[in-house]
Amino acid sequence: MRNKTFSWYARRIILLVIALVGISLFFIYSDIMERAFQSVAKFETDPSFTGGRVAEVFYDPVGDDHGFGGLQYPTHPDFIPGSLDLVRYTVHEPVYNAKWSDLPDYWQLDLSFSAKGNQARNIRIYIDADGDGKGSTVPRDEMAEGVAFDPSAPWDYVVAVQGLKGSLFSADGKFSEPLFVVSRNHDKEIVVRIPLSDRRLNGFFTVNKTSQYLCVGGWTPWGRDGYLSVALRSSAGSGGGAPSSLTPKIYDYLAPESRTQEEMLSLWSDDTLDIPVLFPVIAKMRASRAETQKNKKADSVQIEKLKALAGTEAQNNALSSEQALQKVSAVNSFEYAELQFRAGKKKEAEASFDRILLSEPDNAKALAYKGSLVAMRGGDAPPLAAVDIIAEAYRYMDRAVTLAKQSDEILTARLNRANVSQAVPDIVFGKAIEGASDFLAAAAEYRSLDGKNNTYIAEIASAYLNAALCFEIGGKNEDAGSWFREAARLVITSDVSGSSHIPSSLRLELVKRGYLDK
Amino acid sequence: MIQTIFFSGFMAALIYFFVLAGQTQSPSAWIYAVFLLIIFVQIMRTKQISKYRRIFQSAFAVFFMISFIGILYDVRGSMAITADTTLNAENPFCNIIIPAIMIPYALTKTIIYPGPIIGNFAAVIAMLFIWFIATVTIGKGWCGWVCFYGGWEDAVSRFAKKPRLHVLSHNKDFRAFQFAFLFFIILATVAVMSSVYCEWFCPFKLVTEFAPINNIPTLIATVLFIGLFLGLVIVMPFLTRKRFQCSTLCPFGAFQSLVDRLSGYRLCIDTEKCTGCLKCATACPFCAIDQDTITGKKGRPEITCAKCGECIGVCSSKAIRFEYAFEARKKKDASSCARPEPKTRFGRTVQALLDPQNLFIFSAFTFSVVISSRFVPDAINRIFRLFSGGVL
Repeated sequence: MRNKTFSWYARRIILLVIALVGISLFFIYSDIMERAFQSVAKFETDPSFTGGRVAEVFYDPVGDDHGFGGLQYPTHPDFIPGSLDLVRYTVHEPVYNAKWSDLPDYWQLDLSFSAKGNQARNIRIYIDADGDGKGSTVPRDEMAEGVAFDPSAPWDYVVAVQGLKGSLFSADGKFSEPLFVVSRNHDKEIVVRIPLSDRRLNGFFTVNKTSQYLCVGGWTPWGRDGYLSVALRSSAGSGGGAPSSLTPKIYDYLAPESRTQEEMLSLWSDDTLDIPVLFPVIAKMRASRAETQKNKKADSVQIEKLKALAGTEAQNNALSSEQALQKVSAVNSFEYAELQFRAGKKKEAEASFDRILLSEPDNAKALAYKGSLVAMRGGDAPPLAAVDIIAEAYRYMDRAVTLAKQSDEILTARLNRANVSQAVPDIVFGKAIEGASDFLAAAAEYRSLDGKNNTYIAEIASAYLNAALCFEIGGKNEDAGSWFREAARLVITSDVSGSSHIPSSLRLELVKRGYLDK
Repeated sequence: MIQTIFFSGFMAALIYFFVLAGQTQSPSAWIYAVFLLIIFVQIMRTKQISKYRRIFQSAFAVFFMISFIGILYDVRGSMAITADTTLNAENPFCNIIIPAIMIPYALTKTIIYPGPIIGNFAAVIAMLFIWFIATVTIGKGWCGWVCFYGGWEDAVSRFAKKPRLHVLSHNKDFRAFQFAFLFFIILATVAVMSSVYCEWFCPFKLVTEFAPINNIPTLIATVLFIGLFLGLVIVMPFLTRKRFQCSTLCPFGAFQSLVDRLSGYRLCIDTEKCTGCLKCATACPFCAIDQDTITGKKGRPEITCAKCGECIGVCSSKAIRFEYAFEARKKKDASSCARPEPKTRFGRTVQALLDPQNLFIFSAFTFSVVISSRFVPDAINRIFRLFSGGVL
């Protein structure tokens, strides 16, 4: 009888609690639950809406928007640094009978650039669709790019995109079709959809691979085929750094793995009047069923060795911070607080930064460190309290980013926020992508300080690596791939030039993922 | 009295948290918060559940439309679904097609709708979560209390004082048609692997977003949308005083009827008190009570009941009331939904606080507050802006 009474009350009280607080708590924490659910369920939109399954992704080095190696951007403000710098090219599978689209049959190509600037770009993708050896080996306008194409893969069609207008032309000039072009990701990405409803283009559904020459130049309405001319010196209407009239007008070219863009584009001769011959990338048209494991598994012995080295380096850094801390006597100074932070004396460091903020509430660096320290406190707190503490930490760090003006302030503010964004669980806070943006912003700041001296190459590589890790956490694997490759490229550059010491922890991450050879 | 104070206090806190927190400087948030609190207090105090629920739901439907369209204009410059939004999977996901996407998901592991999956305005997972929590708490009460589309019919059905068209004898047919339509939509969606309901049958395209008319099929679809909206949302509710689209053509409504078993509350008809006057059957906007329900002494409305409370208001013998689902299932004898009166004052207070009707109303109104809190203040702001010389 007593049990029955208990059960009578228990059921009702459970429903009372659900009604009074359960439903509202669900809505308050639904964001967290949704992210946690998605991290397990991995829902995705039917790819026929968004471009079709990805057949192949090509990565192009960041910062190689210099053509043969010496081209400079025009001085016109439309040419934002990086706007012609292709970083990724994604080839999708052709889509048949897509819904909710004016183009039921289409083939989508995505191009990602370092910086925005649609109005500045003139893009050509010359495509050998059938590999039959027929087609053209010169550009649509022979004098436009100033290059020729591999005679073993003459092109059949060319995708021509200027700004957000595009057309597809056949090599024989008999066929042309307007393309659907849109930009996204703040104009850093261009999406090109080629309609395949015309029966002459049906062949794209059946071929397994295509050879493609992807050229990016500057755009001007007065140039040959819209290509911006290049001269010795930059001006508003032409690019600079071209030693010859035969210099190709291509700022960035998607080179196949066996060659480099610079080596291909620099092969002109003023004496023999030879022009450079470009070689294509081979793009699959179907995603392989069993996706090949791109990442080579690194030797476990090598990984262990790198782990030990990374451990020793970390220990040495902590020791040196501790020693430096003992030497500095100026209590209340920013330097002292910073050293306390680096030596892991969290409470003391927070008290020091609080004192600094009391007299200088708009000190961006102090705000950034304070935010990091608050976030560390959040890490030790119970889960529900941690949510509020981390939110408080972001208020400090966001303010720091807003107030930062000088390079050292920008770097401190961005890197502190980026490190916190990387460290907090993404399924709860969803900050990984924001963290990646901060790391990339810090890398850009280092690059602006660096010039061509490679002084900060280790810092830039580290920022790229961490951005890649953040993208990986946020589920953006294509973006992660871009920045892992860039970090690896910088490590190799640094090794070759011997310009800077690359930390072992950085190498370790790249080796583990197969982006760096042992 | 005690339960009115108790539940209204909690509701005031909820309204503060979801409508006012962070917006205490906004007059529109205050206006809406006061409106919500008045509606809730009136429901609890007067027990005229359906009257005040209808005022809320009708207002929500209109303000939702204003806010939603305003947001679309802000984001994409028109109500039309654009190629960009589809390509970027940015079309707001709608709860109505939840039943239709389930089998395609099981077959392809993809969502056959170009909407955001997570972290965006009306994302797929957010809507699935809301649907799930609504199903296990208020069940089909979503349709009766929260649905921002149903409010249109609720409002229009009250324009006439009496029904011009009596459809009581067809209630069963309407219910059967609704389930048949759900079955058809699911099959058709699987056959073409696209959300057929959105493309061809949704009358609410007119008050949300639609595909631009640029070919014959989209022209036919638009004619269908207009026809269905005028016919099922305006004309038929006006003539019959029923929520006609909800009762016949809404696949989500039919699906919610099927999963309503998971919810915590039911409506219960005390067959001993019931006089068989059929006022409830005539009043039910969801065609969930007919002659057979009453004469057959089933002791509960049919499964399409949306717990709107209309029947409770019109029942002169007080024979209809809310009951906990576990109690309703346990009691085979329908007449036993009558409850013993507690002997002490404390007992009466506890019973009042644990009354399933109060808990259901509180739960359903919580959904109403949360779901509407983003749209209604935004719509009021837009209207203020319009009257002060700006644009909507």
